[in-house]
Parts: sequence; structure tokens; C-alpha cells
Amino acid sequence: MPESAHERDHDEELARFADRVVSGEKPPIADEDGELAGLMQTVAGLERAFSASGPDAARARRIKAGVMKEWEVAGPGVGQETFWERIFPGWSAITRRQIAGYAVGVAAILVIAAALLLPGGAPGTASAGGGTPVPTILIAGGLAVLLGVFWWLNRPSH
Amino acid sequence: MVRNNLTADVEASSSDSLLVRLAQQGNRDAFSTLYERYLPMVFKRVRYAVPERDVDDVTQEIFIAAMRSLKSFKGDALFSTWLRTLTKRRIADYYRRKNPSQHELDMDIGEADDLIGEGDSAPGILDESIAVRKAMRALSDDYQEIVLLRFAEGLQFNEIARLRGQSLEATKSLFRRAIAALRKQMGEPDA
Repeated sequence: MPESAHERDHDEELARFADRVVSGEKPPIADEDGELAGLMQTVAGLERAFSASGPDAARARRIKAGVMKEWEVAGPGVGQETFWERIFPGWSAITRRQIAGYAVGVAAILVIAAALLLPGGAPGTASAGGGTPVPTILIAGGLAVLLGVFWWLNRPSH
Repeated sequence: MVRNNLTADVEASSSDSLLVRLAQQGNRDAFSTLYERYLPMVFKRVRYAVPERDVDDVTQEIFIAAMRSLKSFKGDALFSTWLRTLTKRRIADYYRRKNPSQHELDMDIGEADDLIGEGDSAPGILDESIAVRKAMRALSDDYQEIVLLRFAEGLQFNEIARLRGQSLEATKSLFRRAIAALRKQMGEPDA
């Protein structure tokens, strides 16, 4: 049913009144139009009621504590696939760590073996200057790199 | 890349879309900021829909549900719209879980007692608040929604019109009729 001009005026005036009330003003209530004045009083009452119905600090903190506790268990970051999960899908974290440990051990043995078998890599072969033997440096460097890689891949995610 | 995003600075002024993206990648601070930003809206909506004693639990459930389904949020709609839909759905779930007659009883007996303990409202405002809540629940969905959008969420009429796919004039008309219906429900005399 189309609105009368009178109703359209009320729509506009009431909306304008509500805008002012919501923005914190205390506009005067129209007194020449009884119907509109009643609606304005209700709007003012609504604003008072809604302003007072937000959460106080203690409630906000309490609710947040519950939500964030859940975040630790089921937040989007939890359960994000790690490198090892992609390599060994469906395996437990402990098994994955053990496999990663074995892999690092085997790689370390290979590095040591390669260092020993390389030409001039026999134990005790010193460099011309009589300093640290090259294979020892290779072995130590290789192990350090492997340990570093192992730590990096298994570091805590947070 | 993910690591860089995860450690990106989260500021109170960050946009919703940035915060959502960071939270989807597991950034706790981003989700915490979204919580702070939207708690008043969700809380007020819940408070006008469920008995006082369940408001905190339902609000918490809504944010937990949002957190759990955050990964499925693709950004097709605004985050606020998505969260509003989730809030309404959770409130509907609340009523489905509850025995309706028990619910009515809770509303009538429990409401005033629950509110008295709040201590943050003057007695006059407390009475007004109870009266408004009761009257709101008797309104049609359309009327309730426009009142909540304007007062609980603070949306402007042009934003409400856009959200509802209505003209601005139709929105303002709906608002006036909602206020008139509310006034009637509250037993205030027609002036």
C-alpha cells in the first residue's frame, strides 16, 4: 500500500532523529506532532537500552578467554600441514620425527663416507700448510649443516 | 611467504579482509582483533535474543564457530555479513536445542533476576532494557532485524538499504513501522 505524504514525512524525520540519537546527540522531541513524538520517545529509549547492553570488560575478557583457549586447540593454524606431514601423510608426529632422525643419521654417514673416499680424503692427510685436515672440516661442516636443517624442520611452529 | 604474513603487524585499524587472511593462516592476534571489533555487535544481538544467563555461552559459541569455519570463508561477502549470518544461525540452533515452553518460562522468571546482578545500568535503564528486550522478541523478523541493524550494529540507513536490497525510502518506512510496532508491544500509548 503506498504511503501518504504524511507518513513519508514521518519516515524521514524519524530516521533523521534516530541518526542523531545514535551519534550521541540529544535532539529535541517534536511536540507539535503527537504521533511522531511518541515514536521519537521510543527511539530514544531504544538507544538508551542498546547503549547499556554491550558487554562489560569482565564479561568480554571471560568470553575471550574461552574463545582463545579453543583457538589453541582448533584454530586455523593448528593442524596446518608441515613439511614432514606432506612427505609422510597419515603418520604420527613421533614416527615422523624418528624417520627424520634416521634420515639425518644416514645422510651424516654418507657425508662422512664421501669425505673419506674423496681423493686426498684419507684420515691424517693434512693440507700443505700443516693446518686442519680438509676431510675433518668437511665432516664437521656437513654435520653442522645437517643438524641445522634438522632443527629448522622440527622447530616449534609458534 | 606464509611465515612473513603470520608475523605481519596486526593493528586495530587493519581491514577486516587483512585480519581474516592472517587469521586463516593461524595468526592469533588477527583473530583477537576481529573478536574485539565484532564482540559488541554479536553480544548485543545475542542479548536481545536469548535469556540473560545464556548470553555469554552463546556469544562464545558463535566466535568458536567462526574460528572453526574461518578457513571456509572465501571473502565473497563482507566478514561482518558472514558473521551476522553465523550469529543468526547459532541463535536459531539455540532455540532448536531448547524446549520452547521451558524457554518461555526462563524468559519470564529469569530475565529480571539475571539482569539485576549486572550493576552497570541505572535502575531506570534496566527496566527499559528489560521492556525493550521483551517487546523486541514479539516483533516480526523484519522489524527485529532493522532495529538490530540500526541500534546494535550502528549501521546507517543507506547501509541497511544496501544490505537488504531495498530502496532508502522503503528502509526508512520499515524502520518507522518497526518502531510503531515496538511501541505498541511495550504498551506505550498511541500519542
